[in-house]
Amino acid sequence: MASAPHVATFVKTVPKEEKMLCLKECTEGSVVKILKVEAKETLKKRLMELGFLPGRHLKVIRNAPLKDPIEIEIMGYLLAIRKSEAEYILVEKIKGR
Amino acid sequence: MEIKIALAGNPNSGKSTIFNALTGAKQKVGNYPGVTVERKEGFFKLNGLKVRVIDLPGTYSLSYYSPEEMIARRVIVEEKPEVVINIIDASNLERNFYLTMQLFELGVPIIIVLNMMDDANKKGIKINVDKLSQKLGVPVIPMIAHKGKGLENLKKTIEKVIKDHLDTLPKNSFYPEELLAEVKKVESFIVQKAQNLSGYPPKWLAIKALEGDEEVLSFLKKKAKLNDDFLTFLSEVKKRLSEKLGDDPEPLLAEIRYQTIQKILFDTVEWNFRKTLTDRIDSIVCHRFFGLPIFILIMTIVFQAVYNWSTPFMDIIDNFFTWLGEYIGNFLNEGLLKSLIVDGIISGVGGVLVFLPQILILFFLISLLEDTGYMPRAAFVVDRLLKPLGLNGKSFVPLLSSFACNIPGIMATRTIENHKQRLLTILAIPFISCSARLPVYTLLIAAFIPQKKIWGFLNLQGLVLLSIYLTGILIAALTVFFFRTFIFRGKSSPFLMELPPYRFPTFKNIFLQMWNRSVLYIRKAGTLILAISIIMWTLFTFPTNPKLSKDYQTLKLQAKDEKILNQIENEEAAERLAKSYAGRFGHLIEPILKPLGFDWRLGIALTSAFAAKEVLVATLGQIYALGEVTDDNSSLVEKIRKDPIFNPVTATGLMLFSLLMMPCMATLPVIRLETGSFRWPIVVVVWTLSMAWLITFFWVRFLGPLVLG
Repeated sequence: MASAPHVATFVKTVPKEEKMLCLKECTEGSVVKILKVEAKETLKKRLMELGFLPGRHLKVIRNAPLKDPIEIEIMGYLLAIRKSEAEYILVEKIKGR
Repeated sequence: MEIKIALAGNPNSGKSTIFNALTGAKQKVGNYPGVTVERKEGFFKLNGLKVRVIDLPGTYSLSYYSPEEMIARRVIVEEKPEVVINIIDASNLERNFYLTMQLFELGVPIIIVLNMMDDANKKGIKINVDKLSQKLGVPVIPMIAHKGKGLENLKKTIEKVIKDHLDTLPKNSFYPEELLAEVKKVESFIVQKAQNLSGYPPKWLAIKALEGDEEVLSFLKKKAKLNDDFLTFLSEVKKRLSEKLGDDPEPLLAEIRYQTIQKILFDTVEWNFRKTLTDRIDSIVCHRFFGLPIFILIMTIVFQAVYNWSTPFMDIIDNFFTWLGEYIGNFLNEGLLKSLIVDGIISGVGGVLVFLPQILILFFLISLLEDTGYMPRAAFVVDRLLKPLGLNGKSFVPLLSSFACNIPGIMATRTIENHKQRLLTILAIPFISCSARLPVYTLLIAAFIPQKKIWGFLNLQGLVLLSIYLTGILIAALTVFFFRTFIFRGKSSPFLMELPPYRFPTFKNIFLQMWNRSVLYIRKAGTLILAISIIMWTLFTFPTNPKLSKDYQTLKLQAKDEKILNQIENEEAAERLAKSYAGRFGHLIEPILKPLGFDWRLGIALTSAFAAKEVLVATLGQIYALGEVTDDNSSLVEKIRKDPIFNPVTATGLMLFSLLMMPCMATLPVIRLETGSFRWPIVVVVWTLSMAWLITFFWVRFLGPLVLG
C-alpha cells in the first residue's frame, strides 16, 4: 500500500524537469511522489490540508468509469479528485508505468 | 445546572453515531441563521447534570473557506463549550489529526475520541493509546461507537472534566521554536493594540493572521480596530519567517501541522497496511465496466421506491383526510365554518402530511447509502455527467428524486457538502417535472396530440411527453449556468471527495435521520404550507354571495331529475368560481397571459395549480361545469377540444407553462427551510415565473406553429 507514513518525508529536492508530470497523466496503479502543488489560493490550501504536501507519496487507484474523476490513496485514505484539479499537482513516478 | 459540550471532527468520522449514542432521541435539528448549514443539538443526563451537546458541522479544517468551517470555529469561540470532544477516525489518523492541531491552536479543553478502532485494527494500524494521550497531554478514549464500546468511558471522562475539574487544556506546543517566537510577537502586538477581541484567543488570531485568514484579518481591522501598522508588522514577520523556514507562512503552517502529526504518531502508532474489504468492494462498484450498471441498478431502486412504493401510503393519508373531512362535516351545518374546517384546515393538514411517505422512504434510502459508504461512490461514478452543468456527482440523487416530487428532492440536497452547489441544485429542482405535473400533460396530450406513429416506431404522444421532461432538464441546466455565471461568481469550489470505508449501517442512525427530517419538515415547513393552503381556500371561497346571473336556487327546485339538477349545480359552481377572488385574479392577470394565447379561465386554472399542480385538471373540470372530474376525464377532453381557445399549440404551451411556473405551495416553505432564508423562495418564484412566461411565449408565437403547424 502506498504512503505508509515515515517521519520527515517532506524532503524537498529540486524537481528535475524531465521527470515531472501531472497527477492527471498517471496511470492506474502507479505510485508517485508529490513535487509541487501549483494551484492558487483556495485550491492549494484545500489540497495541502488534505495532505498534498511535497515529498509525500500517493497512489493512483483508478479512473471513474467515465474516466473522470480519479480515485487516489493518500495517507491511507481514499479521495476522488477531478482531472481539472489533479492537473495542478506535479509528481514524480516511483512505481508503475 | 446545565453544561455545554461540542463534538468536532472530520466528515465520516462517526461523529453523528456518537452524537446519537449520547443523546438518543433528545435532539433538535435546525439551521444556523442565513446559511444552509445544519445545526444539531441534543441533551443527555450525566448523574444529575444536564449536558447540552452541540454537534458541529463535520470539517477537515478550521479555515475560512467554507461556511461549515467558519461556523465550527465560531461556535467553539463564541458559545464556549466546557470541553470539545474531537472525534477521530482511528483508521485515518494523519488527516483527522489535522483538525486536532487546529483545535489545539484554539486553546480550548479537548477530549480525543479514537473512533472505529475495529476498522483501524483491520487495516493493520496499532495505536498505543496511553502513550498517545501522554504525548498530547489530553485524554484519549478508544471507541467503537456503532457497537457502543467506549461510550461509558467517554461519559466518565466528561464527568471528570466537569465535576473534578480535570484539566484537558492542551499545553504542549509541538511547533518549531522559530515559528512560535514569531507567533508570540504577533500575539503581543494584538494584545497591546487591539480594542476588543470578543473572546477570541489572541494566539489563535496571530496564527490565523499569519496564514492570511481573510475573516480574521477583517475582524482585526473592523472589530479590534487595528490599523495599517499591524499589516506592516505582519508582513515583516511573514518575511522573516519565510527566510528562516523557507516558505510562505500559509503553506508552511499546513506543512508544520502535518510534520507535527507525524512526530506525534511516529512512536505511538504502528502501521502495517493490509488490503481491506473496502478495496475489494470498490474494485467492483467503481469498476470500469460494472460501475455504471451497478449505479443504474441502485438508482432505479431509489427512484422506484420514492415514486411507486410511497403511493399506497399517500393514498391512505389522502383517503383518511377525505374520510375525516366527511365525518366531521356531518356534525357541522352547511356553511362557511364547515367549508373552512373541511376544505381549508383538514384538507390543508392532509396536504402537508401527504408528502411524508416520500420524505421517509427517500431518507431511509439516503441514510442507508450514506452510512454504508455507497453514496460518495455513486457521486464518483456519475460526476462526469454533471460536471458540464457546473454541478457535481452529489447532486444526482436530489435531482433524481425530484422527478417523483420536488420536496424530498430539495430536502435531499443536504447531502451536498458544498453550499454553492447545494443552492444551485435547489434552484434547478423546480424545473424537474414531478409526478404531480403528469395528469396535466396526460389530459392535454390526450386531447390534442393524435395517436400516431412517426417513422414507424415512435409514438407521437410519447414523444411529446418526453420532450416536456427534457425541456424541464434543459431549463434546469440553463438556470444553473445562469446563476453560476452571473450570481455566484468568483472562486469556484473544487470537487475533492473522500471515499470513506464501507461500514455496516446502524438502525439507530437511519431511524433518527428519518425522524429528524420529518419533524423538521412538519414543524418548519408544515405550518407555513397550512397557512398558504388556507389563504388559497379563502381565494377560492370568497366572496360567498356574489351576484349570480341566474336564480340557481329556484332552478334547482324546479329540476325534474337528478341529471338536470347536477347540471344546474355544476353551472352554479362554475359561475361562483368565476366570481370568486381567484376568478377575479384570473381576470386580473389575463393581460399578462393574453400574449401566450391563454384567457382568464386558464388564469384561474394556473392559480389553482399553485396549490398542487394536478389541481389544474380539477379546476378545468369545474370551469367547464363538469363537476368533479374523475380519473376517466374523457368528458373534459371532449370539452377542451371544442373550446376555441385551445389548439395543439396553446395546449402544449399550457403544458410548458405548468411545467416551468413556480413550484407548488408546499415546495416554497421547504426551500426556505433548506436555505435558511426567505430570499431563495422569492428568487425561485420570480425566476420560474419569468422563465415560464418567456419560454411559453417563444413556443406559442414562434416555435410551436413551426413544429406543429
